[in-house]
Amino acid sequence: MTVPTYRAGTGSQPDPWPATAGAAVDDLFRLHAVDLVRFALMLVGDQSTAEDVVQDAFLGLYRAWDRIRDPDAVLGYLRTAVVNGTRSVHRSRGRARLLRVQHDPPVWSAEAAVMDGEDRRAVLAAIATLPQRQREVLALKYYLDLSERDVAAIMRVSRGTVAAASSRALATLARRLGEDQ
Amino acid sequence: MNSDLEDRIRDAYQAAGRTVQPQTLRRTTPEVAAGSTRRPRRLNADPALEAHPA
Repeated sequence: MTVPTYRAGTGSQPDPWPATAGAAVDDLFRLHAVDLVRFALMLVGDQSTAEDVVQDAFLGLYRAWDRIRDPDAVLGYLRTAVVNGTRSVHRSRGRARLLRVQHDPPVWSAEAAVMDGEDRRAVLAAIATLPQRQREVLALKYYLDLSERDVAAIMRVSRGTVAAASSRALATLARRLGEDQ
Repeated sequence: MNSDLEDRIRDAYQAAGRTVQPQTLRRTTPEVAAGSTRRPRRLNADPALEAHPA
């Protein structure tokens, strides 16, 4: 397997770059897995599922290693894979609901009881009711603190789509959270 | 108005993010070195689900 030459010093890549794909992916996992699990958590709600999604993203990176041309794009690749993975989770949950299969409660539910703050739980519960695309935009923009341009690149949509989704999401949340107060 | 809401969203996300700590992760490596066999998803591992593809 050919390992691409990676530039050092971006902060998102191991330095020096490992000699094998497996070692490189291992190093990237150590660098980014926790942050990616946290990001996935915002979209799926529970840590176990978030870890499954991130694990699959890294397996995908390993399999795609030979096709990676831009080393600086690795983290973006992983974030896109996480977004796509969470979409698959929601599709699976749609089927699971029909069959009454249970999954872990979201961290912001009273049932999970792992997160402090009534207002925080209310905000996240309200976000969880938004359409998938709007939830993705909010998590990328407000959790990862990315620009709309970077959000658009990760979601593979236009900046206008991101801006519109963000605007609609904020309007809906303002209305719903305002009603709750 | 929106900046207050944006601050609340950021704060809520940060609080949720803090519930994930490195020591609470079930896996410490991506398990790719041993041949990258596909690990079944927990939901898909349910035989009832396997019988009802999308």
